Amino acid sequence: MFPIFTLPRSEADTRMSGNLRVWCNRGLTALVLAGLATFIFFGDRHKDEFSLIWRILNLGAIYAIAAVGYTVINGMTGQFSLGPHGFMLIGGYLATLLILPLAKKRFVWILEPLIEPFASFTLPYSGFILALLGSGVVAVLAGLIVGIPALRGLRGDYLAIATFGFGEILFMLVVNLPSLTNGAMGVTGVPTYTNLAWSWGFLIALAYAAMRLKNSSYGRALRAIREDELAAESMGINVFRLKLLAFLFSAFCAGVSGGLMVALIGIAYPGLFSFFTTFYLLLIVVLGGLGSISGAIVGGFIFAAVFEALRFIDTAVVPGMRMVVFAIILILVMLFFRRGLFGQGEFSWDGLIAAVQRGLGRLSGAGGGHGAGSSHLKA
Amino acid sequence: MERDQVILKLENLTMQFGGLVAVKDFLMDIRAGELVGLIGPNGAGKTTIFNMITGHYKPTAGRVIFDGRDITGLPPHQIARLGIARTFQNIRLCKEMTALENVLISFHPRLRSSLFGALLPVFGYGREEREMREKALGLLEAVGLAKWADFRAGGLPYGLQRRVEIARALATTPRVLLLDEPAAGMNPQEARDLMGFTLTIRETFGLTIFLIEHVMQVVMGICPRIRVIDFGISIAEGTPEEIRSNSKVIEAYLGEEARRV
Amino acid sequence: MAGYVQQFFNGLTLGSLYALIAIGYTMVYGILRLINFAHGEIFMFAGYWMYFLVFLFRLPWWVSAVLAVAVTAAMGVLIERVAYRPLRQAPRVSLLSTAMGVSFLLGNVIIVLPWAGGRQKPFPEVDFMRKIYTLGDVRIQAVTIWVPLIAGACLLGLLFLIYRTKVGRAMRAIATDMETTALMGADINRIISYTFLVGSALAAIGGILWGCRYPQLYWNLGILPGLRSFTAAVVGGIGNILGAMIGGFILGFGEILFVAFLPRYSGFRDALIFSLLILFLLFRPTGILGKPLKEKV
Repeated sequence: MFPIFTLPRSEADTRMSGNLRVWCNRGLTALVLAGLATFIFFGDRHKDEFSLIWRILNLGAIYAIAAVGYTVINGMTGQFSLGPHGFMLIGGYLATLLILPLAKKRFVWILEPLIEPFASFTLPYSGFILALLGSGVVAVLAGLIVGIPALRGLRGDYLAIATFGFGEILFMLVVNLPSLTNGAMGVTGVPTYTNLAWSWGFLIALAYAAMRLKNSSYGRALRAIREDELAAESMGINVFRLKLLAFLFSAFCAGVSGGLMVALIGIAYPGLFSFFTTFYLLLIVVLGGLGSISGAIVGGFIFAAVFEALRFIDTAVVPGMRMVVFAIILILVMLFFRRGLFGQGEFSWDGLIAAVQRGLGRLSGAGGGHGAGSSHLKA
Repeated sequence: MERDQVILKLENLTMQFGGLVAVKDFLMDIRAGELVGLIGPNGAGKTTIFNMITGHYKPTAGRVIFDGRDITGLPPHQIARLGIARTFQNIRLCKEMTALENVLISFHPRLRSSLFGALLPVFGYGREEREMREKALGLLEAVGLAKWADFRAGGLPYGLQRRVEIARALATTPRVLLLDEPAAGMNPQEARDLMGFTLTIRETFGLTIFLIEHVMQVVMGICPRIRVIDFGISIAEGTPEEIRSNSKVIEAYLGEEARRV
Repeated sequence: MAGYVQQFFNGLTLGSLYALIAIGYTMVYGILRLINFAHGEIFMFAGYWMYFLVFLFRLPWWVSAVLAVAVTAAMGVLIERVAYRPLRQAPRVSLLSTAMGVSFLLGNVIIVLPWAGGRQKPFPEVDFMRKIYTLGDVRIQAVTIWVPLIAGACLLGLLFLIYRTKVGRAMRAIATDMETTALMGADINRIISYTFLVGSALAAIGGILWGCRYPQLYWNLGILPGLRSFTAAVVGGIGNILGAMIGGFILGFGEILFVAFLPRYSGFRDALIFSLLILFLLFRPTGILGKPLKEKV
């Protein structure tokens, strides 16, 4: 009747189809999770046989973790932050300090001794989870220091440039605080604890939290801030507090991601997370659809795969070409495909089934209905 | 609060932007349950007065007293929580969200669940979310929008968007509602509907309404008391009949006509 | 004494270079409310055009300089046309992301180009800039006199353009209120193109003069001067052309003084500049000259 109203499905629809469908979807999710667990288990056991794929799957999850956080602040809340690499850097160095074996610590910090308490203790493998949580927490603390002044006073371009400045200042601190970071030389020999169980485990947990956040009243308030900050505050929303909350969530994700990355590649150095990293994350969330958690995850894995696949171009053909390709992709996506893969929506079983049905319908010539794409706007 | 007690007291509100005085010494008492109109030519400073009440502008001088409490200079979200809600001249809905979600935003400040309660599935957040939805749907029903609940707010016809905006304001459980040109851009039929609607919500929700309006038919039709300002200064107050025959008012509006020509 | 005179000229030179770049940031921000992240790369490209034209095409330096300015200015216009204009009505995040993309693209294209590459390249020598004048025990390089002179002439020309010509009036009108200006019948797109043309041309002149002063070219040359100049624009009040000039000189002199008097800490120079930027954004976002931009309610 009203062709402009193309919202995919109404509350009434879901209620009519009853609980059966809900339980069906939950069953499918459980099945996928069980499959994933099996996959992770065997994947980690046979990592040496598929080392490249194993590495990509880890990298993908690590990027996806940071991207999930980044899409919450950049996409869902609409606050353009350019500082995630700073939080990853902090997280990475904290994890290094917590898990580097004592013998290595004495060996690495020769010129300037490592400060206490890090010089006299280290966490065993079983404490890796504490190291990662610590990475997240320390990033959150840094997030408070940056976020409280920046989010109170700044938005848009100004916020972007201020968070960018923060990342750069942090980089300079890392270089100039050798008793904590060993300065520009970096730290080698970090135990490579990261495996699929850790990276995917954290990804699933944090993505779940992000989904709950998005679908809760908090997420609604965040989206309201993105759409009209002034209207949101007129309805009694404490805009600053919610922005800070989203910012801290993204800082936590970035910190954990940094910790996992260091424990994957085994070294930490100031340039490990540069502004390039933030650029990669921006590309990932833009590609996946700004504000979509599913998009951030899919984008993270796509990015990791392409990044490794194009490595040969950088090493064998023309150095720098990979970045040119990424920059062009970012611009093209923004110009012609601004929704990204998922828009602001999320993956849902209903959406997938509907898409498959439409696809089949089209194949059989019956003509698919027109509606939203594979992603459903979840109410 | 009893009817007829002063609920909103504006004491010598003055707003200066650089050298420009937008509003000067605005003085007004609004009683609980009243429906007061505020009119004046374009650029007279009407919206500026609203912005001072809601905390979007900090008045250069003067005070806003709400229910006996000085709220001058409080941030907008606190003023909203105290019980003053508003709509905007150019509708400011969250366009990409549904009508229901727009109303639900207003429930957020009164959310009981903590953040962790919302993130983890074991603290009963789901129940609270369902309760909020029930209430929000009830509210949409009360304003005649139940069947539009799941439509994208930005895609609704103009008149309905206005209603969603009002419903969203009502969901903050206000005691005072500020309506900024609600009839702007409406056709005569929609404007007539709006008049009835305004009176209904005032009764149903026990509201005090302060209304800026350009469409004379609306403001004259429903407001027993009307204040007129021009160039930031009050020039008249009275019943619709008194305003209609006030020479200063006629001059102000004729002046505007003359300026336009 | 001699040292002070030299430092004064050094400060003047650096300040006028920052001023030239800062104007591009401030003009674009004033009109589109966009931080043109790619502006630093535009500046960097001008130096490379000089390099290409002089060393590959064997053109004399002054022909190359004119051509380099023209080509760089055209690049600025093209970027706006292709990457920014389609997104003018899009959400801010989209526009900013695109600007970031353009910035990374231009920087890395230099690495990819076979004639440029990731390694340092020499900036072509311009003879008269290399002279050294001595006056008693004061030794002054010609370049520290010529750069402020040329920059000063450009800035005067710009002020004339902005305040005395029709295009300049249209630019100021758009900066104040784009919609109204459009309703009055001005061709907004054309004026915005002019803005990018002028801003990029000034950055190009800055880039060439920068090369005369510091004659090495490398792919990320634009980033730090770009950020320092952006800071200058913010310090002076972003959107304000006179402010950008003043901010440029404040930063130029400040940097020279800092490095001269506290050489041990010169490594912290950019951290300090960033702190200055953040402090200004937080506590005086309108800069020393800017007028507050109020959001309409």
